Amino acid sequence: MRLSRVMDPIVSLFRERYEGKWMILTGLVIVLFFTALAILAPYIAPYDPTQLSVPLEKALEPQPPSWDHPMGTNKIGYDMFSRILYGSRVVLYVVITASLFSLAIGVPLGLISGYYSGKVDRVLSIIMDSIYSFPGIILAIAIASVLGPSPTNAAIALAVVYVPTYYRMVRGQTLKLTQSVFVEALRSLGYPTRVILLRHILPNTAPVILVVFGLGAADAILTEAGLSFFGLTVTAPNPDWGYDLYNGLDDFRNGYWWTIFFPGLAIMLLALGFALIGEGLSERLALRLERE
Amino acid sequence: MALLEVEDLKKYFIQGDLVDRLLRRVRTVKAVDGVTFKLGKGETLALVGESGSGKTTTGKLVLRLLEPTGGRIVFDGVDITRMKEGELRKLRPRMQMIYQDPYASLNPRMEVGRAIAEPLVVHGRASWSEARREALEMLERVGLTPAKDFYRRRPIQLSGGQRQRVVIARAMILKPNLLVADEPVSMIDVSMRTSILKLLLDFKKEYNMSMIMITHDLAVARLVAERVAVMYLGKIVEMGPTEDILHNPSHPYTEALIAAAPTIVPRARKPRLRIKGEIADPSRIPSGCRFHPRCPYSDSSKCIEKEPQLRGDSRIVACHYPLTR
Repeated sequence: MRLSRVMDPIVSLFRERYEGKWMILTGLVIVLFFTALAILAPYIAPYDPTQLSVPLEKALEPQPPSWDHPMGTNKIGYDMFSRILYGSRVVLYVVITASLFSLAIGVPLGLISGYYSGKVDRVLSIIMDSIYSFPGIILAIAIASVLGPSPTNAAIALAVVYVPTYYRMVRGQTLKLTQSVFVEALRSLGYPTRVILLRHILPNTAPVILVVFGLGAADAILTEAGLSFFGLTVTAPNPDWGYDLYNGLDDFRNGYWWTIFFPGLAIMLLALGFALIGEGLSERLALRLERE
Repeated sequence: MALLEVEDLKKYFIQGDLVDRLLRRVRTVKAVDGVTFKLGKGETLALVGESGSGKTTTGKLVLRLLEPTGGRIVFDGVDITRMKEGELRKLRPRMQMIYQDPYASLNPRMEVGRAIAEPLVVHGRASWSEARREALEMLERVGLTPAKDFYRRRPIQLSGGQRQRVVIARAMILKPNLLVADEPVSMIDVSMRTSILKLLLDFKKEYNMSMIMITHDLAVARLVAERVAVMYLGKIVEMGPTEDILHNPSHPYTEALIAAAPTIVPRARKPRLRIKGEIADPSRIPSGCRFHPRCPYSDSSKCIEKEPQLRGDSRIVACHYPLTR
């Protein structure tokens, strides 16, 4: 019974016909693909991502893609393919952690704000709007530079940036539901607020939360790449897509396209994967999200 | 002793935002403007009137789903007019409400059986397994069989009439003393209406429950209510035993309502004149008798200047020139 409650929506995702089905499925394939790469990185990676992978004399210049090095090497002689594999671990860790943090803070606050309205709502809305008014990447850079470069700190910085998105969506839904007849009916039944919020309103906001999770994660991947680009996620010589993008900038000018092409492609694909899931879900729910 | 006493109940809605307030454009909508009645144990009172007459607001005020602006509500000897929500919650199982729109009054994501069982668990009256058993009995009782099959359905898999049965089951599982039914059958297929009303009457008998039936349909009032209160623009204009009122209306407005539904009391006197126009804007209530602009019998002095008071004992009416029997 419990299991079917979890499995039924998943099974129906594949069986039913609905708007955005191919989007969700394609997105899932991409995201699961990268997740598999991240988990299996130590078994797939042909080289240590932070060790010289070519003879010393070849390490002075980036080596183009070959059978030994499918994505070439960078200017220090590290194998790009291995770096991409290990880099996916950092990206996924940062983005998933950040999204879960944002969700864990934004959703309860949105519920409270939308249900009680009044002063609580006004204060929370002002705080959230002031966070929201900053351009995400700048705010993330500011927080991350204060905290210092580490994946966890980057995740905290991103979490702060995305809290208002969850808050606003959940608050809006809660506000709408609170004024609905069915919630008034629950009040007339004498239900305590806790039960109304957690057992009745929260499940009704779940689809929206999923959409925000998908779209938010897609955006967070780009922001994370931005943070890494400025060296705020990992320190040398650790692999990270955004950081490798930065390291490859000079090479690109000298004609070594592969050191920048593959990290860029990976960022784009993973962001696309999450975005497809988010968009597909939103289309499935016929939901119009405010997008700025 | 009366189960419910309502005295001079008022609800004013202030309409207008900050800008309106600065420009002094604020409107005070007097949705309920001094309603007084008593409801005995096991008695049913029908509140009838056009939309906009304040019947639904009165029903919600009585259950304290809205904050009253003034007046007094005494439920079973306890004054609940200003009672805090926390305390009120303990009384809520004893007073239930059924809404007009069965499509909107259920959580769309919850199995209906669970929705029926939940109140028992929330109020600590049963464990989930006991509540489930009682809910299954309830489903059977309201005619949703096989109960096991219906228990697992979601609201979207039910028709309007079936949903209303679920709503009734959910309210009745708590065995309330008072039920406010807000147009419970007006959105239901005509063929199902009688059976749903009968269902309510069965429960009423079984629990010796008092009922406030809010309706614009005099046929419904006649079927279920011992007494009728006719509301116009937030006030009761006439109240008394149902048959008495339907056969011998004293207030011109009551007469007009009956005339608008000619088939229900075939031998009722037909009014010579019909009322004109629509119910007035409740933020601009007419002077004197609030019905005077539409009344075919109003004079040009007293009705415009002086508001008529409710007079009488078992049969009361607020009119300067009540129709003679």
